[in-house]
Amino acid sequence: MARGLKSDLIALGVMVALLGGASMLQPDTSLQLVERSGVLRVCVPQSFPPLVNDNRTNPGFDISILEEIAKRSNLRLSTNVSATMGRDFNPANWRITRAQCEVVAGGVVTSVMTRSFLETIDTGIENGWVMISKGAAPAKGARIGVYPGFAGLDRLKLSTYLRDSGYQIALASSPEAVVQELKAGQYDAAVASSLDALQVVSASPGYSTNWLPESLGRFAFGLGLWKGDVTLKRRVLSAWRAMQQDGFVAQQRARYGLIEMPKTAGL
Amino acid sequence: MSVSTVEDQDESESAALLRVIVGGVYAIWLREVKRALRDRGQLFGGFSRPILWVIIMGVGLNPYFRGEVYGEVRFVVPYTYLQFIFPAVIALNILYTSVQAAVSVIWDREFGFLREVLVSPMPRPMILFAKVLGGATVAMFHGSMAILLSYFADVPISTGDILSGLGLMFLMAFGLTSLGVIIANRIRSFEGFGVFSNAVILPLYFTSSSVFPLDPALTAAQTRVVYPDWLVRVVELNPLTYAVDALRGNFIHFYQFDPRIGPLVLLAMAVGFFTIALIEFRRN
Repeated sequence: MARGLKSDLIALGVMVALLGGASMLQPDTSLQLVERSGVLRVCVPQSFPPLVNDNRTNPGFDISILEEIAKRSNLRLSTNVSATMGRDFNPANWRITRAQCEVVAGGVVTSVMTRSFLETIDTGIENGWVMISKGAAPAKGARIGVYPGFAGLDRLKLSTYLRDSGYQIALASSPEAVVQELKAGQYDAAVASSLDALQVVSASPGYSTNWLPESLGRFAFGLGLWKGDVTLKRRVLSAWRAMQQDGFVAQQRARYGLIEMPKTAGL
Repeated sequence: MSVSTVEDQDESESAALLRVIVGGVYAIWLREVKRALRDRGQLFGGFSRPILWVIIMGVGLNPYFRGEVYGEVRFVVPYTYLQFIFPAVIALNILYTSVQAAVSVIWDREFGFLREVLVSPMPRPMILFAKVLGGATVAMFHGSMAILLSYFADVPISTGDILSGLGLMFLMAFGLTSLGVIIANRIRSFEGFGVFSNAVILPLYFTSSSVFPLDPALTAAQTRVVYPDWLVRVVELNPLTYAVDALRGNFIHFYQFDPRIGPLVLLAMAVGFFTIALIEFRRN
């Protein structure tokens, strides 16, 4: 009886061990190919501050993060700047393919739709409409400068929300224009996407940012790897987690002024 | 001096009967589990199916479903093909083992064990319940074996996912073992059962949206443009579709249908198939 049980348990153990061992096999060649070439290629837009800057000393949050990931993986980072990225309404027309890069960065939205063609790693940076104001929420009837930018946020919802809140709306042409008009007292407050708002606040002492309600649209940014490249994603993710733990990510957030914003505006 | 009343006697008799029933259920359950454990072929099947389906087929087809061009969707599901088929392979392991577990009904009938059990004081429903419970336990265990490949399939699983998954897997295994008993009640030979069970298992599996997705983002009309109407209808009518969907929702958090449907269908399968099996078991 005991011998029978022992033999059963051995057979069971062998099966479980074989399955566990099989689980350690490599499901694809993506990491192997990158390691063989020694280069991690990333496709980025020309500029999408502060994630990608047109500046060698401060190349942007995403680039700095990827440079460190490459360094920790004994790889060299090669950036492939795409002039078409973000310009055309249809991303398929940007013609960014697997042949050009292994990673896509600089404004990759980690949505369900994106995950239909990319594996995404959330970098904890959110984009959405943000109110830039001095302390308390602007009073009814206040003049609000709006810089819609190119982030693809819902402008119609924002417009309805601001009108329903009783504000006067003035359209601004750039973040710099918002800074100037705030300084000149032409605007009581301003609204921009969170990434643009960071630029405005850094040049406007005394102003702070508050998220507008989430119902107006908010989405997370991250790094994108081609769907199916599981082994490479595991390596990047493990480096990203290590960087989070040793404080490198926090350092880079501070370096690029990616401050935490209050979750809701006091409106 | 104590005086035993009629009520006391009734109570002690019902307690004794309860002990017989619990002991009997345990004995039959244990016999089923031990037999499955000692059947190396069945054990090897539980090991080889996930290997073949996840590692060989999943890896083989993965390049055809991977991302190639930014913005171009080749595979509508926001998961890799390996992740997508992983819960379905758990379902396949349960499906095979559950239905095959019912072969013991033919075995027991053939060798007279069933006759001996049927003349015991155990009520027939409890005999069937114990057999189905044993088969379901083994099937759930085989389903759990596939979970060992979760790292390979890149499916991160939490303890909560495993616990809720085991619940769903048990319901599924119980329903399908009962289905196996229904089949076994109609078929008198081992050979016939093997052929017939395969004829049930494979169509059920392939038409359960296990290897291809029905895009949940599409409307019913759009789905019928992508796939022929008859196929969509077969998939929607197959109860296993909702069982696989429940497992998929549990393990990769992706649902093609309303998340409430899966557990309800699993419960209905367990109760419905067991009731039919019981009616046929009593009749035979």
